[in-house]
Parts: sequence; structure tokens; C-alpha cells
Amino acid sequence: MAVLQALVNGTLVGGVYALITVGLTLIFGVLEIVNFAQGEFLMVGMYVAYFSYVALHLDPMLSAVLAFGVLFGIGAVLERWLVRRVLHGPEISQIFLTVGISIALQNAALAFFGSDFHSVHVPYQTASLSLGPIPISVPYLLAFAWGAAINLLLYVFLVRTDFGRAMRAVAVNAVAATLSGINVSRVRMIAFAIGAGLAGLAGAVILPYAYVYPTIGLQYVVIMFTIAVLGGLGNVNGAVIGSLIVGITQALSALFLPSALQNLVVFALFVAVLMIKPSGLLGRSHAH
Amino acid sequence: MRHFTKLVAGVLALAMTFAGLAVPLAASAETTVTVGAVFPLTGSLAAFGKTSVQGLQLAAKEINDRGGIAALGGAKINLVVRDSTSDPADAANATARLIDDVHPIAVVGAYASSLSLTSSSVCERRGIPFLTMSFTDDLTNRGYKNTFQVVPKASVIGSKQLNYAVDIAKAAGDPLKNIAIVYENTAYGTSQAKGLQAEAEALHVHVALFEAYPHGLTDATPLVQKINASNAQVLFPISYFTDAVLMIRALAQSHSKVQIVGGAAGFVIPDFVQTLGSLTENIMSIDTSAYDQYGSFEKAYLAAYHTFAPHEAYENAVSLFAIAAALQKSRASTPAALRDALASLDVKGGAFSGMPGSGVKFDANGLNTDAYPVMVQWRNHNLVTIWPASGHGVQAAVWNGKTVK
Amino acid sequence: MRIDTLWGRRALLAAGAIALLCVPLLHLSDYTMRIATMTCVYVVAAAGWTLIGGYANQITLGQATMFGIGAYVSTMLFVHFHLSPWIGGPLGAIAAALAAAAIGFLVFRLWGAYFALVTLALAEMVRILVEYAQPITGGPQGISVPFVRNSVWLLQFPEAKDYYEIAALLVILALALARGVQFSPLGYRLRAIRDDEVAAKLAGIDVFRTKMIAFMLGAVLSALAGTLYAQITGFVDPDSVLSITLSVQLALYAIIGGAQVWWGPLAGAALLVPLGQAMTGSGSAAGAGLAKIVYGLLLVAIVVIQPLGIAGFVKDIRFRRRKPAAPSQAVTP
Repeated sequence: MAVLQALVNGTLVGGVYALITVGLTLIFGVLEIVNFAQGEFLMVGMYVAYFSYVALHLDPMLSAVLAFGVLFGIGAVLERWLVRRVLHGPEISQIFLTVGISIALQNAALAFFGSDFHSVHVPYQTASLSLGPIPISVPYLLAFAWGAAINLLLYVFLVRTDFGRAMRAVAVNAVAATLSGINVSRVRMIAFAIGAGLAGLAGAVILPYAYVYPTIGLQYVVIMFTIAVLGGLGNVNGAVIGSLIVGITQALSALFLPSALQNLVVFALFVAVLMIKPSGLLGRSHAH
Repeated sequence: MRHFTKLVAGVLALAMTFAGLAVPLAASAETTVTVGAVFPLTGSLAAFGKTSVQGLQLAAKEINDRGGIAALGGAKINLVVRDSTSDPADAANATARLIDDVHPIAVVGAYASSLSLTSSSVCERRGIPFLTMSFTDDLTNRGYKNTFQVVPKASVIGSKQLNYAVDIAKAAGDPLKNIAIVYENTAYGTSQAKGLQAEAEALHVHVALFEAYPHGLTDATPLVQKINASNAQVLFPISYFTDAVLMIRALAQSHSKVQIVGGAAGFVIPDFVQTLGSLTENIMSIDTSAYDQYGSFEKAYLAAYHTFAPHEAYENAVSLFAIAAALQKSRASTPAALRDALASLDVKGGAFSGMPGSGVKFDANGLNTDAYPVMVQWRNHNLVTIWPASGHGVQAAVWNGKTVK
Repeated sequence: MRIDTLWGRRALLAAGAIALLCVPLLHLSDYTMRIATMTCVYVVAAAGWTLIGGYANQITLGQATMFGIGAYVSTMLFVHFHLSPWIGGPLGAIAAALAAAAIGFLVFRLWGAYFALVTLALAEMVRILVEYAQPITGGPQGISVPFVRNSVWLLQFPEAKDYYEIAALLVILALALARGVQFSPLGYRLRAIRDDEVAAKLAGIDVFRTKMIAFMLGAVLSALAGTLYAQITGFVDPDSVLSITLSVQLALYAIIGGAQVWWGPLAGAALLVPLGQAMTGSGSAAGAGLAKIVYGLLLVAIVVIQPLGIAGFVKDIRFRRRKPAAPSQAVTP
């Protein structure tokens, strides 16, 4: 019974993690940079949802679209003016550029929005459905549904549309993509913008059960990295599988182990997987 | 060239903005007494640093509006605030800089225990009195001469959290047998949880779940599943706001009806009720001061900041009121003289009425012996004091939906 | 005297070292000396990062683990067994070197972003374990170092500034080591790995062993800095000495200064530590937030404009001076 409940909870949380992580994975897949500011994009998305709620009484499930738009814009600008400049630079610049952006964003939020904690009031916030004896949290379920929808949409986009195919082409081999007439810079900019937008959307979607303040991104960023690497950085399907594994592992390990060690298990799993398959569960092997 | 000029002008303007922010408002010709305040204004603890500073500023205003320190010729309090950040080493640096820059007669700080520990060490080495409302026992068991803790220490708060709950349960005819303790894995959480656990052992209350969790949860459902599995009558969560919110929402989703007795911190701040709304009804929490007794301070805070005064705002204000009282009594003009005056201070009532025991009197270690914790409860979006039943202005407790006579 | 000659360079370095030791003669304020001392601590810790992260381009985001082991081992030995940090420090350094060996064994097979993120995850695991092992480590509450008495043997002084000479000496030793490595055969092997690991392997370099030596040497430096930090602040807890923030900070000092040269950590920490302090000077959250936005943007600007940090700017200037006619050339590889 307890195991079943843990499995259900773990799956729901895993779906939410998939939503949070997919943007990071997309950005790495196409631009090959690890975006340390992804947690801050999530934070900005949460603020967008919060302010839409306060000013327009918009439900976060709807303002998620707005959050996507805002972060898409921010992402496009950042890519155009900053990220693009380090793409051919040393790895160090690539990692620490986004670290600098994250510091600036955190403190911008502090300076302009203040240090207070904020959340929203929506009717389904504490509601739950009953699946037999197992309660299923409604806000998690909604976030899970968004996660599933987004991952499906992204899959269709990448596989069925020309632009999506171009994106995958750039991810596999940028030089070949250029030679076949793809505007690689443009593809990268859109990919970064979508990745940022998805983090913003995720932030809005989780706000009903969470809260926002300027350094909230730090709470999510380590788990995002873990999942993205576990599934294979750059692999969108891998991120979904990684998310489910991490969500379920967290829920199950809590049954047998002290909660304080919950993340230790996740990290240990993560290191172990990489020892066996250094490019992640579904990662493509790089000729390096 | 024109661009360059513009750039330089821009940079200068920016620099001047910061310089303006950095320099405290220049004191007027009349005499002033400089008191330093070191609090986390950035980083993860910034929210609590902000409210602490607001409380202090209000207290300084109140003292100054009443004519300053009469015994020192009406000297005004000049409060100089510095950012400790949320890092202990930086808290020490900020304190050292503050002392060098403005030579304060005393320093108030730094909300979080880890920050207060390093900040107070700097003050001890420079011989400057350091007043704090941080909870940890370590602050006043190091043999320091210049550290003054105006609130009860963590182990006492933890033991009373249980003790009072046992008494209230007994009065409600529902004796406490089986409890769950969950606490965040931080200095505050562990030290208070230990006090709670020791008291449970002494009173033969069965602890069905004693569980630490990592601070900054992204998901509380596994924890809540454990809480529900323990079948505890009462849950004692020792959490900051962030984890408390996730936990209480997840408890509501799992249809839990467990009585919650929180461990101060996250359970007694305005954000808690603003975020959780009616879910807070009848949640209890241990606390170090009595909200309904803050008096004029409460009204002034509400008028200035549009929320009720959280305990850290009031207790830091109490630190400043204690400094003012000691200055008034001793006419101290040096930190050393102020230290001696604080060590022998014994004040009651007035601005100190919000402190349980309504006074400040420090023992040899600098711990306020007058202070004891109280139990508060959320009623209709407000906090009321419910225990000990003998205190003045105490309202009847509601235990599991039942009013305790 | 031309400084380009061997003896000229040596004289310049000796003068720099003496100048560093003579800073207290300037009679700066207590606070300034405190920041100077803390800067020295971070220079040494960041030099530890440079050996592996800069010289070999193995970008570890877990250097705080080494710093933390140094801080914890010496402090625990001091508190539980009254052992002087003069002994505890080196023991902590050995422990850190062993930890580095274990971590290196796990991670050296990984490349690029994977390497960075796995070192980050391992560092988090160490922090979780230290928090959990409360009876030994004090858990999340950390350990307060009791002030016993003013004593060189116990490495205890009343003020941070009193540690300055020891910290400065440690800086000189650390930079001497970093410089020695940079111009030694080990340094050339590391550079070969940085430029192209596969080619280095083909050229007969034992890549694993070379990385391991650099990683362990770096661990020793960062751990010694950690011991000194613990004695100065009198308090260690997982949040301050084992955090991701510290790992990132140490790497940033080295990178802003110039990750590929021995004096990078010195330049970076000497710029960023005082700057970071100046930024916290204001008394309001909005002001502090605004100041730190500037800090973040500065990092962004340096990383975008000159990935080789301050060392890169210096190189540019010298390059132009020598060949005034030649067009300036981007340093970006």
C-alpha cells in the first residue's frame, strides 16, 4: 500500500521534474552549453505567474503561457547578445557566463520584487482526487498534465516540423547543418529561447503548490542538473525517463531511509549510472 | 567621444547612487549614539533580515521621537545597517567593517544562528556588546562577556514546545501519547528538535517519527507519507516558511487532520498566513514573544509596513529598547560601560510587555532569564497567545477543534 | 633592468613576495587587514582549483569539498583532541588529497559538462554526509572553535588581521607551487591535456596519472586554506565551507584572474573579494541587490570579452607593445 502510494507520488513528481528539466536538456542538445541560469528562469516564470495572479487574477495554469512568452523573449535576447559570443569560446566561458547571468537575475529579483515569499490562492490548491485509497494531489496532477503535454508537443515539433528537424540537425552536427543551408545561429537562438520559455512555463505551473522568492532557483537547479545528466544531456526523451527515475527513487527511498539522505540516494544513482555509461542513460556517444 | 562621455557620466551616476545608499543619513548637530545592525539583506535569509531591520528602525524612531536618551542630553539613536549576506564569514566581515567605520556602542544582529555566531565573535574580540534574538544554545555557552540573547535558547524552546502541548492536550481531555517530530536539517532545526526529543523522553511520550529532512524541499509528499504512516496525534514540524508551506499543503491533500504544533520560525510570520490562508486556522506554534501584547509597536508596524509585526521585528526592537534602557540608567559612553550596564539591567513592562515575562534581565552568560516561550495559535488569520494559561491576556486554546477551558 | 631576463624576473617575484609580507607596515584599518587576510585565504584555495581546472581544463565544481575537508579535519582534531592546527592542517590536507584520489578515480573518465556536473553532485553528497554525521561533525549546526588563548602554536589570535603574515606566507608557497608546476614537465603535460586530450594520450602522456597529480596537489592547497579559514572565523558549518556557492566562487576567482597562469588566482581574488565586500556595504536590500546585479554583470562582461581573464588583458597589452605594427589578435582559442 505504502509502496503503491509512493509509486503514484513519485510518478507525479517525476512528471513535474520532466517539465522543469526539458528546457535545460533542449538548450544543451542544440547549443552544447549547460545553462546554470535555468533555475533563475524558473524563478522569473514564477514571478510572472504571481504578478499575473495579483494584477489580473489569472490562474497560473493559464499565465503559464504568458510566462513562456516572457522567458522566450528574455532567452532570445540573452542568446543574441551574450550566449552566442561564447559558443566558440572555451568551456570555462560557457559555464561561467550563465553563472554570472544567474547571479544578476537573482539579485535583480531581490532589488525589484523584494525578499518576501509569495504564492497564489487557487481553489484546487489543496484538493486531491481519490484513486481507491490513494489520494492524488490535484496541483501535482495538473503540473504533470502540463509536463506530459509539453513533452508531447516538443516531440512532435522536433520530429514533424521543418524547424524542429533543423534543430535536431544542428544538435547532431552544426557544420553539416550549415552546409545544407540551415541558418544555424537562428536555430540556436530559437532553441535557447524555447528552453528558457519552458523553464518559465514550469515555474508558473508549479506555483500553486510552491512559493517564490529571489533565490528559489537554487532549490531546483541541482535536481535539474542531476536529471538532465542522468537521462543524457541533450536528449529530450532521456530527460523524461531521468525525471521519472528520480521522482520514484525519491519517493521510494523515503520509505526505507531517513529523509535527510533522500538526495544522497539520487546523487549516488546518478554517479553510478555515469560510471557505467558516461553519456547518460539515453545520451548519444560523442566522438571525443 | 560623446559615447565615452556618456558612459563615464553613467558610471559616475551609478557609483553615486551606491555611495548614497552606503552612507547612513548624516547625523544632525545634536549628539547621537550609534548602534550597528548586521542582518542578512541578500541571499536566502533576506526576507527575515528585512523584517528584523524594519523592527529596529521603528524602535529607533520611537526612542528618538520620545526625545532620545534623556540621561545623555536627549541623544538620538543613529542606527547603521549593514548586510551580513547569508554567509557566516561575510557576517563577520560586515561586523568588523561596521565597527571600524562607525564605532558603534553596540551591535544588534544577525537573525540566523550561524550568522550571529561569527558576528558575535568579532564583537567579543573588540569588546562591543552584541544583542541578538537568534535561538541557538551555542551563543551563550561560550563564556562570552559581550553577547546578550534576549530570547530563550533553542533547547528550552524545543522542550516547551512539547511541554505546553502535553499540558494543553491534558486540559482538553485528550492525553498526548503518540507524536511525530520532523525538523529541517539546519542549526535551528536540529538544536530545537533535540530539546523536544529529550522532553518527550522525560515525559514518556512516544515519538513515532523523528525525522530530519533537507532544508529547501522541492516536494514534501514523501515526508507527508511518513507522517501519515506514523499515526501521530500531533505533528511537531520545526521548519522555515518554505518547507512548512509545502508540508501543510501536502498534508491537506492527503486529508490529514493531525494537530500541528510548529516550532516558531516559518509558522509565525505574515507570509505564512498570506500564503496558506484558512489552512492556518488552529495551527499552533511555540514562540518567543506574544504578538497580542506588542502594544504601540504593533500599531506602528502595521501602519508602516501593512502586515503584523513578526517576532523577529519585535525582538530585535527589544534589543534596541534594552540598549536604550541601559544607556539611560548608566549614562554609558563607551561599549565597555554599556556592557556592564546591560549585565546588570533589570527592566519590566512598557516596551518589553510583548516578551513573555515582560522583562529583560541577563544572567552571567548573557541569556535573558526573564524570557520564556509561549504557545500561540492562528485564529481567523491572526496569532493569539494561548499558553501558559496563567499569563496575562491569554485566550483559550483550541485543541483538535475543541475549545480548552 | 629589463624584467624579461631570468634574473630580472626572479628579482621582481622576490620583490612582490616581500611587498606582500610588508602590507601590515601600511597600518591599514583592522577591517582592511581582515579583508586582506581573507583574500589571501581565497587566493590559496583558488590556486588549488587552478592546478586542475585551469591548467588541465578539468572544470571541477566541487573544490569546496577540499576546502571543507581541510576546515573540518583540523577543527575536529582541535576541538576533540586539542591537536594544534599546525598538525591538524597537514592531516586535513592529506585527507583532502585522499578524497581527491577517490573522486578523481570516479570522474576522470568523464569530459566537459559531465565532469563539471558530477563533481558538483559528489560535493553535494559530501555535504549531505557531513550534515548527517552529527555526532562527529556537529551536523548542520557546525562547530564553533573555542578561543583558548592567543598562541602561535594553537594558531589562535584575537583578530583576523593577526593571521595576515601566516596567510601571506601560505600565498607565497601556493603561488610558488603553482608557478613551479606551470613551467615544469607536469605543467606541459597538463597543457597538452587542456589543448587536446586525445592528442596528449597519443603522444604518450599518462593522462589519468597527470590529472590525478594535479588534482591531489590542488586539494592540498585548498585544504590548507580551509584550515586557516576555520581558525580565522572560529566557526565551520556545511553551508559555509562545503557549499556549491563556495565551489563556484573559488573557480570564479581563478577564472577572472586568468585560469591558465599561476598568478590568476591572486589577481582574481584580489579584485573580487574586496569588490564583493564593497558591494555588501549598503544598508538596504534593494541597494544590496542592485550592487550584486553589477557584480553578476561584471562577471558576464569579463567572461564574454576576455575568457582568459585579467591575464588575457595583460597578454593583449604586452603583445601590442612588442609589435606595435601588428594588428591585435583575438585571444579566444
